[in-house]
Amino acid sequence: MFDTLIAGLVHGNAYALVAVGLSLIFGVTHVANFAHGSVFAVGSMAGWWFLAELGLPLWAAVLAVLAVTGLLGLLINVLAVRPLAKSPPIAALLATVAVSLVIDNLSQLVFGPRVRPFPPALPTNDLQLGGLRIGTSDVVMFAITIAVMAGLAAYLKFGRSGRAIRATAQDPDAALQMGIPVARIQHLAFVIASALGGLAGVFVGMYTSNVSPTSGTAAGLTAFVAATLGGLGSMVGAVLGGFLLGVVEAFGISLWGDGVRDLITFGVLLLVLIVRPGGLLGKVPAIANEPMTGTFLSGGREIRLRWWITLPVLGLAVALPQLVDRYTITVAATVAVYAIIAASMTLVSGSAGQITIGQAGPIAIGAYTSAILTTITGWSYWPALLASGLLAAVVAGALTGPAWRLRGHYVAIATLGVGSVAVAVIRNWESLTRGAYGIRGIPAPVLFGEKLNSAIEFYLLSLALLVLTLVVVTRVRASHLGTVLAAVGADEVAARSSGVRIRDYKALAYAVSAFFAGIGGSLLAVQYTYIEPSVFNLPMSLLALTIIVLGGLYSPVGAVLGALVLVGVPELLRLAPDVRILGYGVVLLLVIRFRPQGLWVRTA
Amino acid sequence: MTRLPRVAVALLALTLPLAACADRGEASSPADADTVSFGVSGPVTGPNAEYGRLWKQGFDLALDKVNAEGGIDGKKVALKWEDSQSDPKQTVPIAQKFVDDSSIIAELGDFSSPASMAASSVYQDAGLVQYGFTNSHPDFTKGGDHIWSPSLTQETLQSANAGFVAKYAKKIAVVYQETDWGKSAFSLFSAAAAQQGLTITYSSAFLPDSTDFRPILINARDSAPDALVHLGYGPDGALIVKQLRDVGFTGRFFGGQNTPEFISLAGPAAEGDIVTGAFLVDDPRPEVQEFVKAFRDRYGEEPGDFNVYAYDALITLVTAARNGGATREGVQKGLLETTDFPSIQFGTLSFNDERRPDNPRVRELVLQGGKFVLGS
Amino acid sequence: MTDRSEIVLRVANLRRTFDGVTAVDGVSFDVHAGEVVSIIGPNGSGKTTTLNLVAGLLRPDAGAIELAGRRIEHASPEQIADAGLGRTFQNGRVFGGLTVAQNVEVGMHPRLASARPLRGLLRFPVLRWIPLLAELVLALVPTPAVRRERREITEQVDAQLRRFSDRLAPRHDELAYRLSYANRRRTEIARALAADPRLLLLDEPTAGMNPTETAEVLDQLLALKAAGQTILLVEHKLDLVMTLSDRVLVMDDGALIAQGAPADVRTNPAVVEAYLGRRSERSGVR
Repeated sequence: MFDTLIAGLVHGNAYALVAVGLSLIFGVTHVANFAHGSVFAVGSMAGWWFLAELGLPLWAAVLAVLAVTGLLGLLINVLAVRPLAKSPPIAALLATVAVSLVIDNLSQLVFGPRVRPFPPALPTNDLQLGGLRIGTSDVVMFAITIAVMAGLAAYLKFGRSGRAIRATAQDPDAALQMGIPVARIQHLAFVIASALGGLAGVFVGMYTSNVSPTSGTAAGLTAFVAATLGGLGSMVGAVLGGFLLGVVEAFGISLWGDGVRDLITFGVLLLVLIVRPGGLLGKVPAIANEPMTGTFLSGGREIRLRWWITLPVLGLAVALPQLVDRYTITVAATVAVYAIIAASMTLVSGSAGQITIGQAGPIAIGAYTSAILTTITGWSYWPALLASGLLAAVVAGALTGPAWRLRGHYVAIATLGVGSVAVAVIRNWESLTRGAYGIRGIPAPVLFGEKLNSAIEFYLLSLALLVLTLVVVTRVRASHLGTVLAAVGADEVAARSSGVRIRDYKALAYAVSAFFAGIGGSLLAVQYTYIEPSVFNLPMSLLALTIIVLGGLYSPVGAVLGALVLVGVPELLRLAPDVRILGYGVVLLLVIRFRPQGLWVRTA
Repeated sequence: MTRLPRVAVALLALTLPLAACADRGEASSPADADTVSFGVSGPVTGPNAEYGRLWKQGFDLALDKVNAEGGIDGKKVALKWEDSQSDPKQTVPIAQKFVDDSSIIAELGDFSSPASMAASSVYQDAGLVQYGFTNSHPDFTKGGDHIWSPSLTQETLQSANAGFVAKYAKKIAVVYQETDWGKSAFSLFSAAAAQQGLTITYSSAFLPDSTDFRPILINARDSAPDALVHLGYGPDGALIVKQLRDVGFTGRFFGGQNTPEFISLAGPAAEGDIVTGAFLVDDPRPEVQEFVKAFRDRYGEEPGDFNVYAYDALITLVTAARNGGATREGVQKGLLETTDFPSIQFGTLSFNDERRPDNPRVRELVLQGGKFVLGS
Repeated sequence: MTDRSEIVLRVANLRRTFDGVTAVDGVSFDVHAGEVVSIIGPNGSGKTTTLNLVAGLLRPDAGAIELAGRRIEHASPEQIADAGLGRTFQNGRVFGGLTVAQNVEVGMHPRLASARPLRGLLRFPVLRWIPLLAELVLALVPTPAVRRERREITEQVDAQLRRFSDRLAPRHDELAYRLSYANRRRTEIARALAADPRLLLLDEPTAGMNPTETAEVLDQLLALKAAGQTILLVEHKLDLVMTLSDRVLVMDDGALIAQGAPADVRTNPAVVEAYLGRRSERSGVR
């Protein structure tokens, strides 16, 4: 018991140190910085390089890492975040996702993809605590965490620029008018937070002892959960959240094994958000401040397609198999599947304004429903397809239910939790899903006695379902229901005062998008013929979200275009395999930077 | 009035990538009749990129060797790499691409079983051999008669493993990776362990991306076993063995991986570790020494299992093509009929009805002084 | 004519505190059918908080609120809107991404019957999915009744916009965020009226408007009053309040310090001292 507690605290300390930086950036800029994990990983790798390869002493290596990651933070803010200050917050979030791709891949090119042993610059197992050996390094890391937390909290509360930081966080426009140098404050926050991320990289590197350029994603995500648990923007909360997560994980894993780690991490997140919608130390204001200038939405208007454009495009799509080779058709089929998933998401994330980062959940439910029904119970594909959509809508809809009373970024984080929990349940429910073994031999659909198992037939099937999706989404948008959904997204308070039950409509919009995500999942199951839980990961959810942001959140046509670009570009970049994903990150960053309102949107 | 040009631009944007794909599709089928190609679908970028790098080292060495010997029937052998990131979303189009490229006579990869198995049906339907040389998933070769793997099935590997463990311990704790690989390893290992009279005092799965294993290792320690058995990969094995010592367990460790990476990551904590394996740097067989020397000369590193897997895989397919003919059918025929493929791992290799190695030799390797040596 | 004796809104002993500061302290008043009642008072005296309590955006700590005989102090804003309350906001809240016509259409949401069947089930946890899904299905495959209702919506929207004829009618299809400030306020009023509310809450409807625009709004409000619309108004511009109101409530420090006919209130010494006196001290006479 005691040993488990200590193990949890030591691990929680690692979470806390990364979470503090995330929380600081969120507090100042209201940006959920998905690149923070990558900065952390750069800190680890740079620390390894300075210590192991250059043989610097620890103090010099730490200083060098602080300089490198601090500068990196400044670059992230200058190049990716700050230029998007006037765009919807989701643009900045996705810019950090793109930056993280760029950093991870650059770091992999610079340091090599290998996992490296981090040199124990401080003794890592020289102390005995209960039945556990811990190191001076752990004690120093703990001291740093507490010092950083106390220092930052005091600085924010009492320091002159610290108070400016808080003012900036609450209302950048007002702060600017009061003569606070908002830009400089935000630069400062990024530099401090990223340098802290780098420092965490060094000490967590010493603690785990394995470091690699790609270790940042997982570290960043758990730290994000920790920061959310504590209440985003609160330094003490981030540390508290980190330790809490570490201890709860340790005891949960001790009881049920490490296979349920994801379930515990994200289950705790969801529970806390249900009980405390603003995190443990976060405050949810009794009433949202009325916007001083009235509700105002920047951006643009979706470009409308005329029938005389739509028909030839559709004709071209149908005739595509005659025009191009089968490899291209296979890519086109994948584009169509992701377009189905994304186009339906425009209802919930575009119209109703609820950003979801967990679409892999309903996709997985749909894929597994089809897989199980067709392989085990022997259903034919078509009823299984329908069941995939329905079950995805019902299960994901029920799990997401409590999220609709949350606000802002917390909704996005809760959906992320729901996606992860759904996949974790699938992984652990072995008697039904075969867990990590996956399900093999998923049969091709049969239509009029004909097996649809060629690339072309699968493409046409996906295309037909895409057209159906577009028709449904377009019709909903054109109806009174669509108007009401858009009202929810535009101004929740005004919508409620007009008698619109916003939680019901958010849930309905989500259910529709989950239905089509389930359909998309079912298609993926058929295309792959073998599925297992790790396919349905965070990058899949982020891809779906990125597609609609790129297309212009509101636009189903834009979603098709976004899918074409985001699934197609990595294939196009095959000409340069080493820098393929790096190039993809750069392209993504440039698109968000110069068209934050999306591709398929006319600027106002 | 401004609508038309915008829409035209949008349409252009819509069709351009597709057109570009189409062009490239044709360009990638060279009319060069003097070269035969093997397609490689593997992780060049992403979290598994290290394995792609190790593969490439092994492949390149094998490529030099077979081309120096005159290739296949006088034709030069080449590889066509496609980066899949071991992501099923990408392996399926890659499979389609390889299938449509008539210069490719067989495919190697992908790295992970989900990524490989998603593409199996494309290869199978086209009659192109998919040689998943790291795919030990029990169902992998059930994807069809063109789906082959030299990876040992867990049945072979784990019954041998349990035999080695039983020589040193009576009571054991087991931790295994929560993947298709780890789970089948665990179920077969525990069956074999029961036959050997071993008692499993504690067991837990762990997620492949976990970094902190102390909670399960504390439980493992408290169940008072003689030894801990780890069924997983190198990096997680290194973490586990180090953290195992941190929680104060001093018994023997079985697990990790026969790779230089594991040895350097785990350091002294893993001393005495025993793994089941086939490849040894010090193996006196001349072909192994030739390989090890060539590898050291070229890369300045020690070779490990994944280099050997890749090296052997290409040699096997080239041998099959030499025996059966430098065509897709020829590779299949060669694989079916050849009974003595040269192999660094196994000495010689032949395939059984399940298209897996027949009667493979599995050896007990002990980590001593930072090097795996043959056990007693 | 509306029955003047009917009480549309009854507020009794309303209390609400924020972090220990009492914003509304034991406020009680009635609004009768067809009456226009205004709340005035200095900044921070609790006027808008009172409106938000009535509209359900805030929960009272104590007290009772009745709308047309129904207790609503624990109801949500949606339920209160359904029960017949329409409102506007202090700084104007329109749906920026929607057209003017769509903004007004949202206001009609509580009145729809054919497109939103089985609405009674919306109160129940799981059963509420039946009307929701029915609404979805009818959006995809509208029945003749739904189409008819759709046409009625269009007509009603046009009728509402005609109220602000040359201001809004020509901007029917314009996105609301591109409107001038005054037109956004007009759109908001049109939206609040679209549901034909029992009670209309207006929170500073002429704030930020110039004298010409203010006069125009006053005319429209007088027309509404003449048509029998019950209105509860918060407003700083005393001329407008005095012209429009049947009764005026004066708040200071969260409490009601005076009420009565406009002329009486204007001369009430307590009001002059508490309200006008302090206000001129603080921010100058407007």
